[in-house]
Parts: sequence; structure tokens; C-alpha cells
Amino acid sequence: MDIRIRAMDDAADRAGFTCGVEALDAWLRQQAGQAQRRRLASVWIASPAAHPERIAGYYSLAPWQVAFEDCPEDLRRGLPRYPIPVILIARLAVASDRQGKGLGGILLVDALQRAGAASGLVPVQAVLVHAKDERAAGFYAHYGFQRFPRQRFVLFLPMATAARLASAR
Amino acid sequence: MKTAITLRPDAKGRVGINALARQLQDRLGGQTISGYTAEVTADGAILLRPRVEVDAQEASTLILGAEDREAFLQALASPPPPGAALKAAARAHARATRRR
Repeated sequence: MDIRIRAMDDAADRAGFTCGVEALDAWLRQQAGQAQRRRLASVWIASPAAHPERIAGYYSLAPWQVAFEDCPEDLRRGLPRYPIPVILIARLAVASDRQGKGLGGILLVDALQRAGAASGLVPVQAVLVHAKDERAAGFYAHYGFQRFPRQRFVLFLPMATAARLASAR
Repeated sequence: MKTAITLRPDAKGRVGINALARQLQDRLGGQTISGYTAEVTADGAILLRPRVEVDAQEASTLILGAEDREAFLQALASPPPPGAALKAAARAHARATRRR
């Protein structure tokens, strides 16, 4: 597999992308461009090196934060006073004809690397995902993301874990 | 797109449940009421607001309760090393994206 991963641009054939989940296909076709232009999310696409117009997979990143429910003052001691900045992998999808070949993991690593680069500029503590279903949650758990005990489809990976990836190969 | 619906009691200020039910039936025009939330306004009318479907991806803040908070802070304090699957994916990433 020889692929290039780049920020989404006008050369990419978004209409030709299909991953089997209509919501992910439709978001790429109809909303990804606007999200990127309005700087609400960055969108990254993987293309075969020989066919840069084809989209083999994509992911999007967005700034997020984690806050805590109100709790009694005596329990607040030692807790962060402000929401904790994190990066959300808002969407990640692999084209139907590319599934089962490891591209999802490659896109995930790419997302973690870009999140890691961002954390060098602003303090980001973790990478967060909202899995659409159990299958998606299992995908992220396979790569070491931890489920929240009470929100089983929300998972996170500490930024420090992602940062150690480069030296752990 | 659904719009808010206001149902008013009759002119004498009575609730008039049958009249309100007829108003509601007319205004919904066959829709079910499950797509709305109801509240009573200061003047005694019933205001039905379209239920807002919040897209988790648009909310931008995750609120954690006590148990989730403990798990999160514990992981940040003691981040685990990357696991075997993630390391293998990193190697695959390096191979796949290497420029020849």
C-alpha cells in the first residue's frame, strides 16, 4: 500500500467516496468542505500515490474540551479548575474497497501524529473519539483507547501515550 | 423544519382540555408529539418546542461525572505506553506513507 495523506482539497473526488456508512459518506460530500473552510474541523484524506484524486479514507480533527460535573467544594481540591483541552477525532472512515487492509490503523496513527504536533503548540491532554457503535468502539479499543466507565462509546487516549509512539516502534 | 406551537387556554382563562386537544391535532397535522418538548408559559399557554437533536460532534465539550472523571485523570497521570496494535499500525503508517 503506497498512499499519501494530505489536507482535503478540491482535487479530491469526494462524491466518489463510499465506506458503507451513509452518514460518513454524506458528511464528506456535503459538510466537510464547509467545516474545513470555517475552521471548525480539519479534514485529512488518504489517496493512492498513483491516483491522488481518489479518496481511500479520511478523518477529521476538531478542538474539544473535557469538563467536570459540579461537585462539592471539598471534593474539588486537586481537580483542574478549567476544562481540559483535547482533540476530537470527529470522523474516520475507510472506503469499502480498502477495508480490512490496515488503512484504518494507518489513518488513526496519522491523526495521532497530527494531534501530537498540535500539542506542541497548545496544551492538548488527550485524543477523544465518539464511537458510532460497538464495532467502532472496538476498533479504537484495539488500538489502546480507553472507554469511559459511564460513557462506553466515548473513548480517549492520553496525549502522552500518543507522543511515545514515535520512539516505541 | 418544525416550528414551535403555542396552545392557548380559552378566553376565560380556563384550560379547556378538549379545545386544546383539537388545536393540537390541527397544528400537528398528523405528526406525532414525540418530536416536541412542552412547557407552560407565564400566561398559562402551552408551548411546544421542536426537540433539538444535539449532534455529539457539534457539542465541543464532554462533561464527565465522578467515575468517568477519576478514570480520565488517572490515565492522564499515568499514561500507558502504546500497545502492540498501535505500534504495529505506526510501522504500517511509516511504510505506507514513505515517499519513494
